[in-house]
Amino acid sequence: MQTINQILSSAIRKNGFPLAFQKIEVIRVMPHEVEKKISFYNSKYKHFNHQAMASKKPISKIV
Amino acid sequence: MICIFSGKKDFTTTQVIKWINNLSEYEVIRINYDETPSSQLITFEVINNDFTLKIDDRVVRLNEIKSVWYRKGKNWLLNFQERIKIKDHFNFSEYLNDKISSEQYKLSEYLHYLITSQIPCLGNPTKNDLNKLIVLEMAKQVGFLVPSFYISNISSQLKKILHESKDMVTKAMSDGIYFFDHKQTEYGYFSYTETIQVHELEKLREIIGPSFIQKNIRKAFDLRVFFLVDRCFSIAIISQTDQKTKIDFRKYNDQKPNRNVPYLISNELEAKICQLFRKLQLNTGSIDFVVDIDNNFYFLEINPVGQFTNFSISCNFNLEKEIAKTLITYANNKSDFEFCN
Repeated sequence: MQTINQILSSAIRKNGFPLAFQKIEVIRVMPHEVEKKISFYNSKYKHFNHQAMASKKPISKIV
Repeated sequence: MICIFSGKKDFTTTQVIKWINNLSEYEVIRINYDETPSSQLITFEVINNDFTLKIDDRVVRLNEIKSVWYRKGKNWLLNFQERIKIKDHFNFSEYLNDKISSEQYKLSEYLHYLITSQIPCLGNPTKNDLNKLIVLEMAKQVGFLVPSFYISNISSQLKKILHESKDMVTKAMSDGIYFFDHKQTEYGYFSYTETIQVHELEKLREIIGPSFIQKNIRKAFDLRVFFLVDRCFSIAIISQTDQKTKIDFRKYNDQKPNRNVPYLISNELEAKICQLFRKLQLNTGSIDFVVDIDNNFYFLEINPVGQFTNFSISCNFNLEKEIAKTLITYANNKSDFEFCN
């Protein structure tokens, strides 16, 4: 039985695509949900205002 | 303020922002090329040669930006127009979509021209997709060894070359295939540098897509050099003894990863690298070399926006911190900067 890599590579070969695209590797990718989590984590660093963060630091004395 | 143009998933950007925060008081604005209007709304006004951006609720004036990093992607600031689909007018809809893309592209080009002519920038918005073939020529001009190559769309001619020189590889002239399909298959599709044998061309039609084949260098190791404003951070990748990574080290062996070690390059090689980056009008990027058993360094390609966090960690280079320091230095010295534009 042909692997998915072989099926895709054969289809691409039949269409006369450049040699560099005739050997394809296919892998299962991480679920979209995980990717969304990465984007969400990065989005916390989208607008990073140092002063705004500084104001959330505990203060050392009450004036 | 320091402004970073990047992508939503780029973790390296996040690390650099953390370092900027640790080392300075500068506010950071991150603009991702792959945001949609619902996740990040950008509006702006251009008045003569000045502009004001409003990113969500934050208003940013051009003169507030002290330094910029063009990290990843292209066509940032273009996400404000949805594609149109007019029933029964499919072709006209496509035409309109092309038209609006062209309109936005010209504006984006102008905005980045204004940025690069007034603000110190790391990276270059117009040089993030280099032509590999032109770069090979430029590399030869500065004195690098480049493996000989051949391009043709005639399969019988390619066969002839492969008969004469049996040890050849093929690779894409643009970026290779790198595609994630989250909607239908949940597969990732990739192409790499591959060896190519005559028998693999047997059943091909006579005229095929233009194909690039290049002499395969029997390597002692791969060398990747991360270039950051006239400084080189070099990594030897011991990939030649693993069948999986022997031809292309990006076919990572997760069970037994290649060993990566810091490598000291000669002053001569470093000078040529600086010369090539100057020719390309780039101040950062990664260069790939392959080093043969006689210690000859063959230039393969430059990637202006590649990933480097893995190498940064394995070789203890702390590149994210170095980039943050560069952006801070640029920001502190904005008024002393000389601009080419």
